[in-house]
Amino acid sequence: MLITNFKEKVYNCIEFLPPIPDIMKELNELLQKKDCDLRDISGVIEKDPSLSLNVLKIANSAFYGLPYEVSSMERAVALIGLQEVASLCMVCNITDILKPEPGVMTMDIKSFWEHSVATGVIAKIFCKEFNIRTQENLYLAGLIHDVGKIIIDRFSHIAYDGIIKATHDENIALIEAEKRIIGESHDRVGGWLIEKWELPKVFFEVAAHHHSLMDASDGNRRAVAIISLSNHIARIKGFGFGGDMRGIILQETDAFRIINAEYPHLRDQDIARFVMDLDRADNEIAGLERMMNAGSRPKTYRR
Amino acid sequence: MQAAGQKLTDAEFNALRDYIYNKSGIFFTERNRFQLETKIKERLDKTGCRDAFEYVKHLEDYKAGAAELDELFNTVTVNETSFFRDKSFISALEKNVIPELVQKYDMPGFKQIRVWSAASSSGEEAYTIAILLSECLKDAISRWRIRIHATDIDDNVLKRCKDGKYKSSALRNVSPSLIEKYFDRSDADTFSVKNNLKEMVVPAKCNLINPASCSAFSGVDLILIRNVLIYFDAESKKKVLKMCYENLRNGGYMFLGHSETIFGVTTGFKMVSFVNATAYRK
Repeated sequence: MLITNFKEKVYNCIEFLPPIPDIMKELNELLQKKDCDLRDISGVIEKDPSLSLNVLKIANSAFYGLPYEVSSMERAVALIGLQEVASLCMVCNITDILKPEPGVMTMDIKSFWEHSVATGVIAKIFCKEFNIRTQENLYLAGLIHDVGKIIIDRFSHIAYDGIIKATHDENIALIEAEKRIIGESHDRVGGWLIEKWELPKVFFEVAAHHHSLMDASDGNRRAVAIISLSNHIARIKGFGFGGDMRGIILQETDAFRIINAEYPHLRDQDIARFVMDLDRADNEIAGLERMMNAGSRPKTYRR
Repeated sequence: MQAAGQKLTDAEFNALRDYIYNKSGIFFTERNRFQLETKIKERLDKTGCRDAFEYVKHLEDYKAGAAELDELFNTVTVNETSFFRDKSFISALEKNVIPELVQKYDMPGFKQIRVWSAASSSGEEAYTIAILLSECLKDAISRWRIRIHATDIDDNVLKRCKDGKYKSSALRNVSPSLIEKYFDRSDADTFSVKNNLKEMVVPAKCNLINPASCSAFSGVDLILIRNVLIYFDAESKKKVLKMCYENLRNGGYMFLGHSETIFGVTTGFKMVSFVNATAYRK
């Protein structure tokens, strides 16, 4: 069932999504400034009370392990950082924009977000565990890496249902099933959406190239690789999306090789133990995923 | 509530631990000391020994020792197991490893797969593999030569494996249709595996740290050695894993217990991650 003019049709579908709110554009602009002040940032966020509430909820979750509960945006920004808070805002907005309309048949949104949250959380834990320094917000990158799946599903839920079924029946990777059934894949489609939203380039590259790391730019390849590896690990930890049960040799993936080239100590680490110990992150992942799905914003906000 | 068993003094525990270790490679750490303590009382009572020192002396007696050593191994090893235990492990075998082996050896004149369940206890794991292979091969299985070596250090459990009779509780994870297909009901609570499965499973005694004992299981395609390494110290673990590597055919798989890794013990294997299960490939 290859679809002709797929890109054009999906673009139309993207057109119907609410745009990224102005507040996100403002935040992005502020973050680009060198002398960005935390009061400016918190001021912008506080313009939207329900957004502020959600950001504070996530900031106070076990994930950030703050020493005490924060109740002001300024405090949250000071403690967890500008980039991080801006990302949380982005997360709240994106999950809201992509929330299906009531009554519409969709793929399993809960397990979609569970996989996305797991990928982001694993990326953060991975970097912390193995002392990998990153500038980018990997948690947000993890959250949006598969956003193309939602778009394809919205475009044709029946087609996506068939794709998921093929992964179960034939034990093949989702991307393989997508290419065969609709002739496109979620990474490319995700790239189109992020491009349209004008998010920073690293997020575009994560969404568009997490299955084709060599296409990523030199500057962002490592971030894309960390998300790609975390994506594999999320699947083998049971936070998968679809029915692909195949085994993978993590150390032989492009993602591992790219990270290892910069961090040669990685080769000597007990990756099996790292993957096993991620069981401890289950609660964090479940907690964040719940917030993600429940962090709904008032309907009036929609445009 | 006090646990039934025999509190051992440190000196007694050390003497017994070292003796068992030298004979079997099984090493009781402080963490699993209680396992030894809960089980040793039975052996002391049977042999009439007053304490662990006397018991070790009794074991060293060249006449009585050998038989008693078997009894001791039978007593101290853990034998709790059931069919289709650990869903993720079964799924990795069913969806990936077994179809891969079948595809690899599906050649005219070859068609054979050898599996080694290396601490098989009473055989539930070995028969589970027999069922998975039967389900994968279907009618074609009659043209295949399948051997599943079910080995253990404990004679009692090997006898149970050979008998192939199990309580219904051991079958709690098996679907009714598979029970119907592969078991006969002996009485209200006992099921016997059917002969076609029995023909595939070959029970044998094997001490994993004794190379001569393991040489019969070389050239296998799949080794299941689950929850055994915890009993070995680093040195014995190394020896056992080296032996497994050598006994595997190229491209063959080894599965360890859920929380065991080979890190720092052996290289050579490639770690293959399945959903919630890890295998090591040669």
